[in-house]
Amino acid sequence: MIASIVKKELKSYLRSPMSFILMGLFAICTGWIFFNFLITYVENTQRLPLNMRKPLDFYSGVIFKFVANVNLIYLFIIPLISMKSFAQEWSSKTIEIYFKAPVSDFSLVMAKYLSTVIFALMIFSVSLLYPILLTFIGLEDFTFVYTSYISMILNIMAYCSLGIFVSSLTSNTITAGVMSFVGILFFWMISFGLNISSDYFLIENLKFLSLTTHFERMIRGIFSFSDLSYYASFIFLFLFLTKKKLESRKWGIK
Amino acid sequence: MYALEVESLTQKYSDKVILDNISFKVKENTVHGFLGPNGAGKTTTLKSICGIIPIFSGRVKFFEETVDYQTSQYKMDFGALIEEPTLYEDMKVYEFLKFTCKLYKIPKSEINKSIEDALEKILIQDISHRLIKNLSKGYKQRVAIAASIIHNPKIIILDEPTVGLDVSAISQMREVILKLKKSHTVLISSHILHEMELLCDEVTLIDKSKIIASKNLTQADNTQINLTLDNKKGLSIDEIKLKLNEAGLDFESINHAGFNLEQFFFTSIRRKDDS
Repeated sequence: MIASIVKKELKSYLRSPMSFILMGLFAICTGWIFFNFLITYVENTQRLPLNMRKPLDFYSGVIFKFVANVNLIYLFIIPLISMKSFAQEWSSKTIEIYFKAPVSDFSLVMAKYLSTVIFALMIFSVSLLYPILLTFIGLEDFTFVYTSYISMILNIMAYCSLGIFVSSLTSNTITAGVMSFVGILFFWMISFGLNISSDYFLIENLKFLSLTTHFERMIRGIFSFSDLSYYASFIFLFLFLTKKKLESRKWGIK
Repeated sequence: MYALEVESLTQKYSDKVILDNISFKVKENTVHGFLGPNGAGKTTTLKSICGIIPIFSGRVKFFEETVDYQTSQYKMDFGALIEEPTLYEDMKVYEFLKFTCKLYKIPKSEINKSIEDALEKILIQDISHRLIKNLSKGYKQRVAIAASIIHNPKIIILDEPTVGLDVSAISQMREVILKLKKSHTVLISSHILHEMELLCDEVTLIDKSKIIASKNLTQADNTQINLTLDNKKGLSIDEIKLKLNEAGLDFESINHAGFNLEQFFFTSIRRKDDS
């Protein structure tokens, strides 16, 4: 059941010219960003004497910056992908196809979520080309490339869960897109500017709530149970809320 | 046996009563018309039966078993087309029906047969490989019906299936509904009385959120007899009335042959308003 809906959703994404425009733009942007960082790094390194060059500089100068920028691009991409998932079904009333069939709300939410994540990862897969290119210039240690990509995948999964939830709240795709953007931005920026407060408890809690805190730790290879449980809870919470939103149509039913 | 029973169904939005304690029964393998003016509560009733909107109070039975809307098992018993046809327009007809089969968990080996059966019943075999968005409204309506009967349900619920269709599409839809009657129970809502008269075995009238009458259109009613007069003498209506009075026969109205559903509808509504 879930697989059938996922397949149908992915076909629908791939039928739309918007998807290919999005993929193309993503490839152009990331390509430009990657080669800019790489060239800057090479130029800066060449100016340094050999004894001052450190292997970690490559990761912080290219890989971490690149992934952080891809993350920024996804702040815009995810709302564009997820806004359609439920909002369009509400507006065209095609959601009733699922409501009339013996499809559980859980299956529907999971199928919508998985299809959004898979499509977002399909776009993201374009960026795999750059680490592969790095093998040609002699990069051997891919540890930080792996950690960066795993962190990015977790971020994409978290963004999608929020996007799906927002999309389930409205029948207007534009509203869904804008609200998803605002929602993701909120969890991005919640820990920004905390130095203006002296309340330790507040600062630590807001830091923990921020996606940025966990993401920045994880791309540097610091995977803690706290970070992984944060992502799991974030995804679970928004998928749970989406399911509750769908169930709300039955509240009061006998 | 009754395929569908609605018992004391009440619907409220805020304080407004949309359905006021309505009850009616639909016999198995019949076409049952649900008639009423716009805003009478027809669509709300059908949506409540299908579980699309929560029921405030009352209950619905399918084949004498109370429907439990918290489970999804009841969804296998009926197929419904409520209001506009809901279709994925970027899909082809066959592809859409195949997707619907998967939603109804029809085994892979039976999918092709289910689709062929539905296409044959709805008379749309020739458009199975066309894109849905390129179809006319009449065809879209029929594709939506095909999707709603793909799992071969016992009850089919159709909400105003002929609305917005042209004359030939209405005639084809009539043919489809009469074909469905052979193997399904059909509950059909409409405000087009002539259509209902041609299609239905029984009708229930709803007005202002209440059921006001039910009528079996197939059974003879001895209290009201339609007289078909071979008026070769060319008598005027007044002369015929005079002759009937002279013969001591009471009459309510003089109509052409056949039961006049339109008159029945308006008389019933008037009677309800007077009371």
